[in-house]
Amino acid sequence: MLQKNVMRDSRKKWMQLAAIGIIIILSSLTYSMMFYGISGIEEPTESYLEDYNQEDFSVEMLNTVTEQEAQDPEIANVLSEGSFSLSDIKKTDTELFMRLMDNRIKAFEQQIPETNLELRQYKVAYFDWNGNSHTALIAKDAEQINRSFIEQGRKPSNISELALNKIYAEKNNIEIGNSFVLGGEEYTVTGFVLFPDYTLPVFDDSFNFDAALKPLVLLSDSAYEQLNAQERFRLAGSTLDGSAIDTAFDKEQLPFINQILATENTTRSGAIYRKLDEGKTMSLGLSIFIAAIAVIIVSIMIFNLLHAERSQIGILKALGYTGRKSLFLTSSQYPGSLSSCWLSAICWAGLLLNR
Amino acid sequence: MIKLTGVTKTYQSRDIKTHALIDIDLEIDEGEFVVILGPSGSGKITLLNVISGLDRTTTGSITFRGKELTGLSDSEMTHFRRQHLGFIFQQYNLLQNLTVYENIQVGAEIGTDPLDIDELLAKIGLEKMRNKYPSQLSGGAQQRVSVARSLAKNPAIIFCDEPTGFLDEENSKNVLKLLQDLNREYKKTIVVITHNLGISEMSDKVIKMNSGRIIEVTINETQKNAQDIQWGKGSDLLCCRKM
Repeated sequence: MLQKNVMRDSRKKWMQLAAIGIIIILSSLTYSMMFYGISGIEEPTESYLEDYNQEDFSVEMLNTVTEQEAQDPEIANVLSEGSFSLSDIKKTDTELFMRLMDNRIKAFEQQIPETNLELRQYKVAYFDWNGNSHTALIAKDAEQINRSFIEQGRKPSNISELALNKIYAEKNNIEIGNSFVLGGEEYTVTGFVLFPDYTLPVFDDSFNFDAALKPLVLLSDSAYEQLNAQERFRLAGSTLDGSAIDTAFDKEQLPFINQILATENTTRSGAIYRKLDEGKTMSLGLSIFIAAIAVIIVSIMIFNLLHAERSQIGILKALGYTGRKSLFLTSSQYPGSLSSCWLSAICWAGLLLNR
Repeated sequence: MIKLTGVTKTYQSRDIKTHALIDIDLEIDEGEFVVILGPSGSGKITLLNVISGLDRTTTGSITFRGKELTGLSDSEMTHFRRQHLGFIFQQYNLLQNLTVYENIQVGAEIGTDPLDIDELLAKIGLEKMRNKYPSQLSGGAQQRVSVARSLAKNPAIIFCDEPTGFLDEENSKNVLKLLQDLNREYKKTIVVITHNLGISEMSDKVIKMNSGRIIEVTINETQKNAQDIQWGKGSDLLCCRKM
């Protein structure tokens, strides 16, 4: 009899039950779709960053030589000629510059073992395009860490070719084979490139992250060296055992270092991880929000049902039915069961996310 | 059958104490038709609630066929109600999704020695309505179904709280006749709470209450048939003398 009453009651309340069901399905779908959507981005991104050896940390250096480095007669000679910055030293004597950088890398690896460093050379050029001021970052192709990834087309192979990042090209209607003027030189676009240490185009002091105004550029080595633009340097590093880098260092032993930045704390390289985390949090938050609405609706329904069926429940209890059976005989168990299902689903979702 | 000795019931809300029952001594015999009369707030419903175990006493003792009820746990009390008690209320509270037959079945299902539902349907005169839903019945018919539901599990005693409160005279007398027949034919003990003085004319014992006390117990030597009672006779209890 209890089952009969419940079945008939549920047939009458199909609309309410369907509404709750839809909300629960919506909530689960939102979570699942967003979670899998993010996973769909996360997996290839992580795979790409691993394959192309994204730096684990970067070492920001002084753009000048230290007092100790200045003791070197060859360096002292260059300094006496008026070349003080690293880029000036490189222009004056590239071999000397490379030796200076090797010495810095050795000093670092001696102080902080189990690390591998590579010099990251890049230039920043400013130019106008279609009436807007653009800032380009031109990175020299790396050999080990932060290797460039050509997602379409091919790498530039001669002095008149370059590759751009795809999003910039799309936003500015540039296609492979088009011409692109940079630093007064005209280049042919041969492909679309990505750099693992620039997941977000942050390469100057501005807070403008507009990808339409900030191209990432790859030139052939000879074209890079010939490009007339301000050059900067840092050391890109990776830990050999995959552990996190300790960003504290001995300033006396490593006076050329300004700071060591872990990738996860660096906007240009670690932003992607924060974006992925934000996406996951958003997907859980949104589904919790939808589900919270479901809980409120279910609670109101339970309250109204209990209120409406208070007398019936009382009569049944007076007749000798237990409280549980009385509730079952009325239809209050439906929203209760549904809300229990929902709570279980949310718990599972939470567990999955924290896995 | 049921014996109350020194029963009191006090409700307390913050600093305010309300004495709903004061020093009640009462005995209801097997097969009796008892009417409890009293104005609103006199303690009739509280008395019914504590006798039937729907509420707990503050002090005093209640026994049923010699068994002490006041010490029973909630589940024991539920079991006791299931075994021995039936209830009829002013509101019929039938399950709207079930037919007449099924509503009576709800009562029969929890009894250990239930009555035959078809016989009950014949008794209440609703054989032809057995497959109707409550919303398709008149108030009087619904109350008769409620009586049948209460009776179906074959309880020893039936408590009725204003069973004719929502009915007109004709329907009321039909329901009362049904109760009287149950009392006479099945020897069921019937306890009726009412404002209607006329109903007391068909009872064996009339208990008048006021301000939480029993102020008068009257034994009727003769009982009128339900159809012959004087309908609409209001109670005038406040002027009654105390026992």
